Amino acid sequence: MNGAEYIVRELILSGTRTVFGYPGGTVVALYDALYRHRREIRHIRTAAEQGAAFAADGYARATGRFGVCIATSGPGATNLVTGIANAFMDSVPLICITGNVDHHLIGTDSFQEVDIVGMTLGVTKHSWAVRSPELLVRAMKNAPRLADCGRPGPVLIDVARDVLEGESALYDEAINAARSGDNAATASSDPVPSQVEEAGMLLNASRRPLIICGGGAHRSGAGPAISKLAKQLGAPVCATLMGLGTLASDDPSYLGLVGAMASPAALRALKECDLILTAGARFSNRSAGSVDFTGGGKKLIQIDSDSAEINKIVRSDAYIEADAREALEALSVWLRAHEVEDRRPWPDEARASDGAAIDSRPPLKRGYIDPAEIFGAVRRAAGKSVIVATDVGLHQLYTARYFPLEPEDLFLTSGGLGTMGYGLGAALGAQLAEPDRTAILFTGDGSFMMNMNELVTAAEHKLPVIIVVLKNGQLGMVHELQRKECGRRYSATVLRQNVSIPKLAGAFGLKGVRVHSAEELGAAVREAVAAKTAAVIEVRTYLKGC
Amino acid sequence: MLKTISILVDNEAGVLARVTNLFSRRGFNIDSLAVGTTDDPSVSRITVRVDCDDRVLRQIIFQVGKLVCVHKVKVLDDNALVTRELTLIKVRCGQKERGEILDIAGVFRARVVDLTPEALTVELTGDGGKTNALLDMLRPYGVLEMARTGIVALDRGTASISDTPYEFNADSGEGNTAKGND
Ligand SMILES: Cc1ncc(C[n+]2csc(CCOP(=O)(O)OP(=O)(O)O)c2C)c(N)n1
Repeated sequence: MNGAEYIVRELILSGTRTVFGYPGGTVVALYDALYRHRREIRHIRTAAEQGAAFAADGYARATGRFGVCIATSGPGATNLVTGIANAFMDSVPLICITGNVDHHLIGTDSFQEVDIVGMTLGVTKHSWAVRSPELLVRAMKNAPRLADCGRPGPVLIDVARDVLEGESALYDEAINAARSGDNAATASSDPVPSQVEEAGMLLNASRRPLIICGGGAHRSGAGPAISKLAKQLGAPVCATLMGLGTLASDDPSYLGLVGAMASPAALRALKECDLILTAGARFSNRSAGSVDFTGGGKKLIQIDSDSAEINKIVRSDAYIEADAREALEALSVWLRAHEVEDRRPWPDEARASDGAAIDSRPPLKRGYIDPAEIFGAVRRAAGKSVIVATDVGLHQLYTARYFPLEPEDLFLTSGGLGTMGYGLGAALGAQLAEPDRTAILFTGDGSFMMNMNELVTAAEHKLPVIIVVLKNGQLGMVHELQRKECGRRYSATVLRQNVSIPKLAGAFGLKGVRVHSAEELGAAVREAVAAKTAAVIEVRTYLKGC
Repeated sequence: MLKTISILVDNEAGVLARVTNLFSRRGFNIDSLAVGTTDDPSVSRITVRVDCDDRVLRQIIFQVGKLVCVHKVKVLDDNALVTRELTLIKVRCGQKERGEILDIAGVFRARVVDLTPEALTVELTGDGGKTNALLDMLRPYGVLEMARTGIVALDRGTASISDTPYEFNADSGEGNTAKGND
């Protein structure tokens, strides 16, 4: 068999059922193999490679296993780069397969040749420049584990065209070995008792501990463990953007979001606590920038499975290098064993009272919907266990803050890279992984225009994604910066575009509507959910900065 | 504070690029860098000198340790290591100066490795201080060019990088605990 056939067979053997990509000259052999195996593995051609990377990312976040995207050499490969960087920043497992020119042409600036391995060095966990069958086997054998294990992330396999097309007996051997072989899962290391002890003692001495959960806590399914520990300690819990949905929005310990758009209750708790316990949060300047973690004698305990995150940005007083769920469970057990009594919860005042209150919003024009009502209306209409995706901008922060996310929901957002245009591809990928769930994308009029080409993918595959375009006529988030920092000189952030979103959707063969009230919005969502069809809903609103 | 770090890596194309890319991407400043194979031809040893504080040093160890091509990382103990650097200095040297220059070289135990009517090249092995001192002495004659290998270093005694607790298993993905390839 040739290299292309081998790749596809390995993917099938690893349990991959759907891949995303875009064909081109150097990967014709790969697409030929995909054609041969079309009944065992589904290939979704997106409108552009960036969409394929985002879709693979959404697919991976939905399944908890690596997603696969494929691109041809040169422009195909470079179009993946934003998606790869996005996955790297948010620790999403991807296997990206790119074709490259024949190996004897490499280095000669031949047609559609780029050094994609070099370009992505800083945004991949690992990569292989495959110029021989031996290396292709090694890459295919190790890529799934490397992408998925420990802290997940993207890996890249760049294969010279002649390797894709050339036959080798090594491939048959490798496939036979894979059939009989063990694909042993890598065990994560148990929390070290001395680290648990040290953290436990600090927790025990604290009067007002606060727990912050990040993406690592969410990924490890630490919700119940956090809930339990919070109860024992009487500690309130906050979430970073990536940690949203770890706890139910009505969990009595939950105070809401920290970082940009932090809830007032969370801000107050951050100020008043005497200890912060973080679980799987990496203290990016976006979510932690304004927080003083150690001021006023505050103690900090850090839990992270990636030892490189410990003390990377803030020096902690104790740490546990382990999976968040396991570490938190171990802490609970330690506290019990040391007969630490359940504490009275602090703060005393009513907690999550900040619900839908958005302060000092401008009076709304007719036909504009109050943002606070948008998220409630969609939540009620969409039902339970939904896929919620966002793009990047004010609408993203609003969704994070005002859409009541529950642990059974799947939240897809570009937290680390803040990539406009991420949402549609991600929603499509997740919808393909979970066809029975309702998928909703909240996007802005700027972000939507960046990658609305993927509407064609939704139409082609009849994916019932509900797209809510929050039209404020601005690149709101940057507009807001300019209001504050540039003396209201709104350079390039006012969208004087007269695009009819319903007509645009119609051109793709999708249903599009413009709604003028929260009731109409709710009705449009309910209708799309019931009919299981895609809908693009234009909502005019104001979004205020934070 | 100057720290000497040894890194064992796969002896493969692209590995040095991965390591140095990480240093530049994360803003770790390399003071000196030397690379060469080891007794095991599949493994190379990179020796880097970095001027950094403890926090950055820890970051370097863990970030470098996460690279799949890296087997071991160790910060060498400043009090128990041997370091060497080889330097070649070519100095302008006519017949008149030759005696003086040879005297200077002799004091520093630098060996003459090339001699022509107009120039002389010396080889010096040592640590940075000695090299700089020799350079200062030769400058007045006119240094034509020079090259340094970068520092290489080993632990004193039987201690070795193989004793470091963290095994980062290259490429196989095996033994990837939370400390390894995550
Ligand atoms: C690819 C990309 N380009 C530029 C930016 C910078 N940026 C961040 S938010 C934003 C405005 C987004 O506008 P819109 O999608 O309309 O959302 P809004 O803020 O109005 O809700 C821009 C331009 C970005 N994050 N990503």
